[in-house]
Amino acid sequence: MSTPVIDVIAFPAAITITTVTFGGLSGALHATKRGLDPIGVFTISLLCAVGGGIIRDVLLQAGVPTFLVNPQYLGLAAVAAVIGFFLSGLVRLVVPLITVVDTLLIGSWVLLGSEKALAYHLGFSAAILMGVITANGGGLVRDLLCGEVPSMVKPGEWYGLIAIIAAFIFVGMVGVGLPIGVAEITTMVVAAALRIAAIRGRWHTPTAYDLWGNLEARMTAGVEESLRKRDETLRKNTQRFSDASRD
Amino acid sequence: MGSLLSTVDTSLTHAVSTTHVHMATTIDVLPTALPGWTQLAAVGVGAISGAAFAARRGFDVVGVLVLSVATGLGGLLLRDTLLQRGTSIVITDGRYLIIAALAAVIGFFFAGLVDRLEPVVVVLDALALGFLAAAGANAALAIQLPPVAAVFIGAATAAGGLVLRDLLAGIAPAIMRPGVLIAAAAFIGALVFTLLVVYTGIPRGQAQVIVVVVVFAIRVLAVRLQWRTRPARDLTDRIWDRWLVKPKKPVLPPILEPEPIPPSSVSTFSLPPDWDDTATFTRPPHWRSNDDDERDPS
Repeated sequence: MSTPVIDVIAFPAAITITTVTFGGLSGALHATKRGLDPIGVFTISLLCAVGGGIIRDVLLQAGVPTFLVNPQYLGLAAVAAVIGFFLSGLVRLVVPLITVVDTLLIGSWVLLGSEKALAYHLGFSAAILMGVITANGGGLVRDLLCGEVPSMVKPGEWYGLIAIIAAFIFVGMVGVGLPIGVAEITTMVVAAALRIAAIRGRWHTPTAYDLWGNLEARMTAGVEESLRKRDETLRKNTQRFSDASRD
Repeated sequence: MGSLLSTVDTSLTHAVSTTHVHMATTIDVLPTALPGWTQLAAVGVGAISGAAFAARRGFDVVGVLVLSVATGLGGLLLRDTLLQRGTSIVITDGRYLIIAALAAVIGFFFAGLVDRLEPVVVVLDALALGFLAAAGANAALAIQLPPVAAVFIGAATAAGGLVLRDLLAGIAPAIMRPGVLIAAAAFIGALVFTLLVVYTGIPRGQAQVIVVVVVFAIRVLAVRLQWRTRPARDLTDRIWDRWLVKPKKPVLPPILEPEPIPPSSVSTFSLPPDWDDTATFTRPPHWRSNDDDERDPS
């Protein structure tokens, strides 16, 4: 199978702008909650909006990152920061809206990364990696700068996992040879559906499962001991992050 | 197959050219009015403060070295990484790393001396801040990025080292917390440089000197007057009260001032002189009480 190559990055600008704006708003709210100063709120807002894109562009060595070439992104982040700084009460009112838009647009983050990787003649795995990094990079940098364990690596929310699945779907569909528009829409719909299901069903990402220890316990002590050991591991893993996850 | 590849290639160049800025492959050296060692000195000052920071927090040899390099060179490294114009100057020019290593040695052995000389370090840091802000903004303008991006790059160059230092030290970056005014000074410096270069067209070297002076003044004033940055203030309720909801005020009659009573007409009351405080009241027999009816219907 030949490397999937797409010719032009054909992604609606309106969706890109919406994605970036709502990323910036959620970042500004996050920073305001932690009591940062104006520069901090702007930085976090900007990095939530375009942080994934910065990492993507630096890794792709694709010239100056997009947000520096198109200053509209800086402007959007600044507006989001000002709104978050002075009108955090208003932003808190529209948190459900932000959540819904985030849910619907998780696929578009992945597309922003994967399409650019494919446009630069990279292979499957690189395109998947770029999609995942673009989707998670903003939150990762945000948590690092706030001095927290990145929510991407903490057990809990189904966000990174959905990004991985969406990247696989998109790159797979493009690789099979489907039109790019179909692949885009399918990815976005599947990602949004997965995210909604994860939120509604309270899905929890699994932590490491000690298969060897469980087999050993099952052979020596029986099923009860094995189940007890599994519960203990789960509790330990949950407890390890419970302090850091407190907001 | 060949035709397919060729179509892909041409369209790809189109796609790529929309995101690329075609310019020289190296960042122009700042045509500065200041001598060439000033950038090295600016880096060295940041590196010394980073090394002293690490030594104070009990990092080991490698930790002091790494934090010294990160604090001193982090800003320029961040700038060159974001601008994507070849290998960063802090790596191609070996003097930068040597300066940072020397700073690490000073910080490792003389952290106490550096602490005692704190006013000097603050002054030198303030000078370096303005210098780096101008250097960053200049590099962005040299590859013809928009002015807004130049302001951002300038502020990131000046403050990036501090952010990197705190990240490596495992604490939340201090310049983003409410407190001393450093990042805002860097931002103002980059803004002033960009405005001067883009709108007045004065030589960049002179603009840089002006920015160094401005940022130095801001920093010194901030330290002297203890200016501090503030956390977010929620103005929603105030705006809501002011503009969005206008409660209808009931129209009340005007409150009239009571007419002053002439002193002559003020009645005075006094008890009679033979008033007995201890006297008890007994009802005369012809008075009737309220519950007499129930008790005695006759």
